[in-house]
Amino acid sequence: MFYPAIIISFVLALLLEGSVLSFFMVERALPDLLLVLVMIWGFILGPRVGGILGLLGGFFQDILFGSSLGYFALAKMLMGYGAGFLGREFYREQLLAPTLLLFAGTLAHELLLNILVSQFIGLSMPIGWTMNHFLIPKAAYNSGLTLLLYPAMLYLYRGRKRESIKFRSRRKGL
Amino acid sequence: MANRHSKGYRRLYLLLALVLGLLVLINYTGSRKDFTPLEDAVRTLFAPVQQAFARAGTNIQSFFDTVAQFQNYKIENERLLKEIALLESRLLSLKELQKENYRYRELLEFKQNSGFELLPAEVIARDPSQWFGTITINRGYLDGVQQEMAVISDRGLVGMVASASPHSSQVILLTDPRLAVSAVVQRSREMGMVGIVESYPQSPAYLRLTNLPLEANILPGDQVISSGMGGIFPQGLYIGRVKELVQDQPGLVLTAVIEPRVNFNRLEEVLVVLGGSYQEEEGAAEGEREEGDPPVEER
Repeated sequence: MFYPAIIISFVLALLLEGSVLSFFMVERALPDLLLVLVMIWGFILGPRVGGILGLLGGFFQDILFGSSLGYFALAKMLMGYGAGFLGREFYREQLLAPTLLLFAGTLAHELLLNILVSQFIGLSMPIGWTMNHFLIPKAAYNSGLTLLLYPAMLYLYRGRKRESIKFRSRRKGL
Repeated sequence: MANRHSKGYRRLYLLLALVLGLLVLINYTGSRKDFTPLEDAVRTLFAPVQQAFARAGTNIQSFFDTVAQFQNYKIENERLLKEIALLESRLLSLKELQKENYRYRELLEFKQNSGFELLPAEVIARDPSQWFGTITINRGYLDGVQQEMAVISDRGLVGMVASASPHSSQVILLTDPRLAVSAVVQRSREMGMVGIVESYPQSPAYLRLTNLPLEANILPGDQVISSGMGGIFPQGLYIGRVKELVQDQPGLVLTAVIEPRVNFNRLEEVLVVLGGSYQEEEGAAEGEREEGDPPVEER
């Protein structure tokens, strides 16, 4: 039930991003809730799961909003994988690491998308302007969301882990 | 250890393969014109949900806009309320001026046609008690007003100047029990049928004409005017209309209930009779009084 709930949360995140969240624009930046969820789950669950979740979530985003498939799937898969990879180096209890990770991850995600779009479509944005007006506010926005979401998601993960241990010990007892 | 390394390489190869695959997918789908059936199905499935979310988003935006604009709306509302209050007060004063203009026109017309020397005055105060009927006007003896001068309006007899100060005067109204006026019925003008008009305590909105002989030629609807006797009030000033006739208890005299044309509660401008044609008639009136007719116009 845990992973289907994560997928449903991704769907909800995308629906919110396309509707309600678009009215909460700061500067020119909107939060990327899906990226926040992918990277946090990647940070908690490891690179393999982070990569898969990123791939699925990004693919769904491509289908729902994009005309070409693969942009968001690729970018989010790499971010999920990277968050999981780096997550192994930090204690999960501290809030600063995922927050900074989301800041850097958002910049990397958007820069990667910028490169992909410029390579495959031929559109390129001036990097300095994009950084100031778009990327840094977005990264800050996502970091802020991480501060709110990470403790709750870690709590859910811990709860699920406890249940899983109980279940295993019962099975061993039987 | 070697197994762990090979597992790591496997993952890396898988990742690189996925990246490569996705890059190919991006390249492949970049120039396409149609969506795959899977994409169509997903989009069709999610379209109503997206619509519902978009509506919710619009409602939320509208709510936040309202909240954000609340202060502006409040300021605007306060400004508009002030403007409305200002405009209402202007409208009210314009209506008041219109009414005043109308009244002054009537007074002017009356003044020009009356033949009296009249002094217009404004009512500046009225006795709030129910016992007396007096008003204060903004003309005093410096304006030529003297005690016992008649005060009228374009609608008829109002009262008499009771006392005059330099710039204001007290006027005793016909409805005051202290004042009585000799009067006749306009239709017959029988001087032998002079009665006294005075207040009617049982019904303060009316006056009464007393001391009429039983055989007096008077009917309901008759107009009652001042007789001019007593020397204070000019002859022929309109007082009111006979509403009904009542016999007193012993059955010796008649009393007529008079409905005055002047609304004593709403007097705003009056005219003080300074002189004029009335003065010429005064002698006659005094002469008649000397002959022993009873009405004296102040008790």
